[in-house]
Amino acid sequence: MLLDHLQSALDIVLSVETVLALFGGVVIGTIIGAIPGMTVTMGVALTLPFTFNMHPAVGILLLLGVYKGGVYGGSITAILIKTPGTPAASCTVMDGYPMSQNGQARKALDIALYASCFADFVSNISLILFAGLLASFALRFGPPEYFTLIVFSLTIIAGIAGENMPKGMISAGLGLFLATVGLDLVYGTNRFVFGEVELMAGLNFIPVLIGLFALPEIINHYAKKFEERGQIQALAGGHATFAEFRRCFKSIFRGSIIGVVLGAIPGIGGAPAAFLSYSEAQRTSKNPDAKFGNGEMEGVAAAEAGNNGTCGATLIPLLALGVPGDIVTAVILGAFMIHGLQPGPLLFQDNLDLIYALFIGIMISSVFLFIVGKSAIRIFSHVVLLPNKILFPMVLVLCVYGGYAVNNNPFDILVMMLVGLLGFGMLRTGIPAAPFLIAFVLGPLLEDNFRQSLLLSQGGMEIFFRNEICWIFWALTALVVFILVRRGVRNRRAAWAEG
Amino acid sequence: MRAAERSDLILSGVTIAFACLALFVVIPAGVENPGQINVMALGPSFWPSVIAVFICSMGILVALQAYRSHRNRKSSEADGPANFAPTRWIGALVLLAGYYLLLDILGMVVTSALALLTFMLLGGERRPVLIVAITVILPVALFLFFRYVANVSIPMGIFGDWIS
Repeated sequence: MLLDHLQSALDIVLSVETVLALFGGVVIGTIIGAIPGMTVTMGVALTLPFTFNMHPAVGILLLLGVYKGGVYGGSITAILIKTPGTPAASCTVMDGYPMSQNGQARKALDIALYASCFADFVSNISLILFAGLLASFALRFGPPEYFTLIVFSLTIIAGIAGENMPKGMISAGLGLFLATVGLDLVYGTNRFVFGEVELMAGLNFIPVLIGLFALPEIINHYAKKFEERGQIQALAGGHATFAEFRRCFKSIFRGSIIGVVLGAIPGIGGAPAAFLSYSEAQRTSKNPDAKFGNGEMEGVAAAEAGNNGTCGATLIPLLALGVPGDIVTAVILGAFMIHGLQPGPLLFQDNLDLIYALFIGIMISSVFLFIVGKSAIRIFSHVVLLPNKILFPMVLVLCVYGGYAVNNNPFDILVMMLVGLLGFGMLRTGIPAAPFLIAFVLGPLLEDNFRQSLLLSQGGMEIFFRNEICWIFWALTALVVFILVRRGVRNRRAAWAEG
Repeated sequence: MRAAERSDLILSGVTIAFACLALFVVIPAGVENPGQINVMALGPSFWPSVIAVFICSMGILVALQAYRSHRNRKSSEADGPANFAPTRWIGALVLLAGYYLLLDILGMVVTSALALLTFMLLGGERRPVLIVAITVILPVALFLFFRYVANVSIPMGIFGDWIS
């Protein structure tokens, strides 16, 4: 039985279509990650409409390729022009750019690639080992347990809310509110439809996603005074040697584990993992000649290992529990839904061949990342010079085609543009967009499980405390909220003290 | 009061107004409640109402934060120069509206080509060969992909008969 599923998964993964999709995804992701102004989320969102017609495994592997390529690609600009392509790559700047200035750009890019691929591999192994275990445990979950789990997961919003928590919460509130548009889940009556047939099924995820993550950047590009980009450093110096990789290996391994642990916790993401890995490398370094902050190769390796170590691990809560680990996996959750699949423990029962195909494909993606990174660094280093005045109009057209292709309906383009305007307003007022999307995705699940629980208990709230699983999630939620509030109060006091 | 604090106060006002509008106008008018609901929390308007109250509370918190930040600030830190180009921004919005409105008439390929051309010019691109190449190649390539690979019927507007 198990071998049958494995055989079926191998048939999917080893097809020409899948290999091309995965390889193409890594290439696209690396290019997008290397372009300042383009984010990994934007890249995955813009690629999503191209997967509608594909086999679910092929489409999702394409998106995962974009994700992994994008996370790595962010380091190219960080090293060559001191502009991190992704927030997580901001730690790579600290030693990567000084290395470029010292004529060691190629060495920095090489060690970033080696660390990224190794950490990605470790992260993928952890996904394969732990997702199944967690999923089998989650089979015990009913609606109340899921409700408390999603409440806990919503605390990830706090992690991505940025500096101003209430603004993050406003963003989440707007996402939850928009998610209520459409037919009511219990009574089947209309909510906020106002006679528009198109609204009866609710707002489609893709136009909202594209509108929120791509359009605001485009509108903001025209709203800002144009700025010149930094000078690109020459791709100078020799390659990193095996001895240099071995010298950095301890930091790479430690960074990979840090990435896995932090990545598996919803909401933490790549940037904190990169900084923690970097600071640990600095703290434990026994090399008296190490010059962290001034072009230390071990610093680049540690940052990239921490950053890429999160990639596979963020998929653990997504696949096992149906809860996204970060904003990109929230988009990938949407991709599952578009293909009629609901990630979670039942996916491991009903679609085991798909799960195996994803596991095999994700391992292959680490190899592709290495090949793409190694063979095409010179080309990608020129991609960073693509000017925004050409890039953003092209992205806009991609958005319109992508928004339309979901349902072949121009109404979705209107939704995308309106959400884009809302997103632009949020961008200019410092309201983060990520909580909006997480809440928009989790909102229906939250409400559905809340109301199903109440139907089971005939209105009794005690059902949300019916067993130890519910209590554990409530305790975790309370703990996270307590830590975040305490941190917020401390930061604010420190800011006021500084005047 | 600094621009950031003023902006937060305005944001707070807009948020509270939105939440009140949702609570007292949009939810009563937009949610169809069935005749009899035994448990209030199961009603279709319960969840949106909870969210609206939540948004309102966060709006109040933003206002309180802005006020406290203003009161506790010791130094009179000046605002940086505003990075806003209103003319080009309005131009972009007009082009965006035109893009949507013309889709039905001219179809997606021609409208996208026009959008590419005008947005590139608005952004300051002046190399004619590059502009023409991108304007022609990208919309046609996307049309070919979605029409023949993804089997998506792309609207062609008045050029529909001519294309087919």
